[in-house]
Amino acid sequence: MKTVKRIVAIVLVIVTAVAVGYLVFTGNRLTVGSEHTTAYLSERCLYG
Amino acid sequence: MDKRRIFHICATAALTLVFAFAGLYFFKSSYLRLAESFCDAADSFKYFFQKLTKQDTTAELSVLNYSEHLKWNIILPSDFKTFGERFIEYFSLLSSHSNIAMYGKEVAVTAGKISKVTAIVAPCLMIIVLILSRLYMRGNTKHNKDTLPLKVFRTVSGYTYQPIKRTVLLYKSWLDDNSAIYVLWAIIWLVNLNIATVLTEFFAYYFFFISSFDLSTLYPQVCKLFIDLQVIFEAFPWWSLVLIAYVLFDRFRKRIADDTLHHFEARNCGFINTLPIVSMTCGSMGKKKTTMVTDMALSQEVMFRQKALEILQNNDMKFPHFPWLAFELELKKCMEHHTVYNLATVANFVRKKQERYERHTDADLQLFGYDVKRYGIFYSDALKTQTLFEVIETYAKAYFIYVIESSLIVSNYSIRVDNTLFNEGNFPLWDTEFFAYGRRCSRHSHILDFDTLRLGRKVIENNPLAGSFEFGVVVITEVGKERGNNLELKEVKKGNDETNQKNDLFNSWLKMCRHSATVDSFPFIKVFTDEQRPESWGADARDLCDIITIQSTDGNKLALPFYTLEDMASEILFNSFLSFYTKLRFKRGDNTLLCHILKSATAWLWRRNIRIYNRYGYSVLKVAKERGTMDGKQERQRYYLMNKKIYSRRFSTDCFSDYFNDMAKNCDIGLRDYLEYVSEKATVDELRMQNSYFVRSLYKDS
Repeated sequence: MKTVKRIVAIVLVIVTAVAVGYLVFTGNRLTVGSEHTTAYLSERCLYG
Repeated sequence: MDKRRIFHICATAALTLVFAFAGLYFFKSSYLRLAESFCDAADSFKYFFQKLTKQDTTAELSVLNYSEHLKWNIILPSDFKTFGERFIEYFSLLSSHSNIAMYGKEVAVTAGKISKVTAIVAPCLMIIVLILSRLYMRGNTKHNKDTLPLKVFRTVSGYTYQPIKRTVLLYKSWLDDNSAIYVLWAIIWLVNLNIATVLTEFFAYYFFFISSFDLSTLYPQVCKLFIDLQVIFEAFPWWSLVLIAYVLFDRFRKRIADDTLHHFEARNCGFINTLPIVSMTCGSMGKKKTTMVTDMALSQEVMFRQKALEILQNNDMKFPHFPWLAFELELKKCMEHHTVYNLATVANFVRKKQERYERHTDADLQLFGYDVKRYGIFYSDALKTQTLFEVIETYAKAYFIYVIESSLIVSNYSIRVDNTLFNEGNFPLWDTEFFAYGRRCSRHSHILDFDTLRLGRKVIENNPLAGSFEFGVVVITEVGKERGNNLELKEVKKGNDETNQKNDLFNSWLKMCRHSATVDSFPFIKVFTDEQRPESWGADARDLCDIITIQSTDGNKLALPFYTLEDMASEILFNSFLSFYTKLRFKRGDNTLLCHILKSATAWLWRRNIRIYNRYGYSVLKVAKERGTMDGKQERQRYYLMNKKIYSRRFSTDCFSDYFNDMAKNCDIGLRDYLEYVSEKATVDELRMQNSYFVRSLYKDS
């Protein structure tokens, strides 16, 4: 029973880390994506 | 003023100056922001006052504007519309296949890097461990001699780490005695980290919002909150925030654990309340009978105090304007002078008061200035009418039980109690917390003189304690050995001269014990007994009980949540060290540096683990409750034994061990001196040496 509990705890920690990592990764992509868009548009305005 | 105190004061002054200068140089924007928030609060309050008095709102609402001193460094957009668009974009990105695939690639790349590092580091570590094992396993018998590296380490730490540690601990203990310094530092850091600003902005926005209910202003406030909080994340490295987060998480889970333990205690109290006046706990040896009975007695004592308080509060409401405090103080004085020492003398005390009042009708003297004409002396509860003195008598008895500063437990073995009475000269309050941190003053249960429970013949003629027992929690372990059953008492006659189980009328006392203990229709008496077999106690008494049979015990569980991984790590590290340490101790007699460091670290981990299990551990007893006649249905229940409550040196499991110790002390031999069998089959001489009834009967017959 103790071993099962420990395996479940380890699996839960790994799954939580992967899930949180995915949320942060998606947030970063969104932020970086919008910064690139803003930079691209300001260049176009200056030089277009 | 001694040197240490001067040092502490100087250290405090220096630290305070450092914190203040850190605030001015590194957190300057926080102070400017705080000033801004005070202006926001003032404007909001002006706006709120104008709205309240229906004036034109002339105040400029700076609470709705972003800060001019803190830059926008957060990822949230500045308006709600853009936030909504980005929110939808985020969730659609979350579920897109390409995003999942990209993340999968990132995870694979990271896992690949970790595997490469592991592939290089793991063999190196194994080689180091092998080399160290070879070096360390060279045997010697240099008992308790330190190796050279260890000597150097001890000398260096004796001049550096140990004095610093002692100084810091002494300084911390001085700070704990002068906790106002913590308050000052907390204020400085609350301002430095912008938390004071957050609180001020909360009130500023609160006053605006309750006047306007403008929901569109909520989003900018959320952004402002994140901007204010970014100071904390920018000031400290991520690992220090992880440490602080762990400390907060630890406090959160300990609170859950405390709530769980209190819940189990409440369930136990519910179980105890279903028991009749007398109960008997049975089970074979080692099933925790005495532990359970002790646990129930401790809980019952607390419940009696709580019930007494409830009776006081209910009777107070019957005559709410009677000066109860003055009455309590007079009663307490009589208790201190030992003119009132049991419920009978309490009743006597009130009766005398009544007689004096009826003779002199002086309310000032007898009733502490109670206005009889205004508030009356009768109370009707729609069932009966009670006079003031009847209510006073009930109140006095309940107060006596509540305030008596000794344990309510009377037992035939010692039970430690640590309930504390707090008294500041008015109404006293009990601290009956079983799971409190820190030590409390202890006292022990009263010695049970069985003569006090005997209505017939007594062991000691004219025992001064005879007839004195009225109320309390009676605990009798091994009751069958004390009272016996019909089979064991076959030869014992009621008409014998000496006192025995048949002529002492103990069973009659059991049947009538609640009569002396009843206050306001509640019996303040409970008798807990234990024995290995219910049949060991005669049926006349046993039929009065409920029998609780302990069927099984579920091992040591933990109420502290989210501790599985730390428990696992402690166990793995401890067991690994233990196997290395055992081999080392077998091979070597000296003390090595590596063993010293590893042992210190493992011991710290082990002690922490033990403390957590002792504080938050519990076991579950599966019990079956049935009537004492043992002809009814068994009801399966659970009883919780919390380690912190019952294993804090409450009682000694070997409560009769002194009897055996005395016998053993007077012997000249021990286990080593017993003869051993020569071979696998006992010889005739060896059989005769057993002094066994069976062997003697065999040889007698032959």
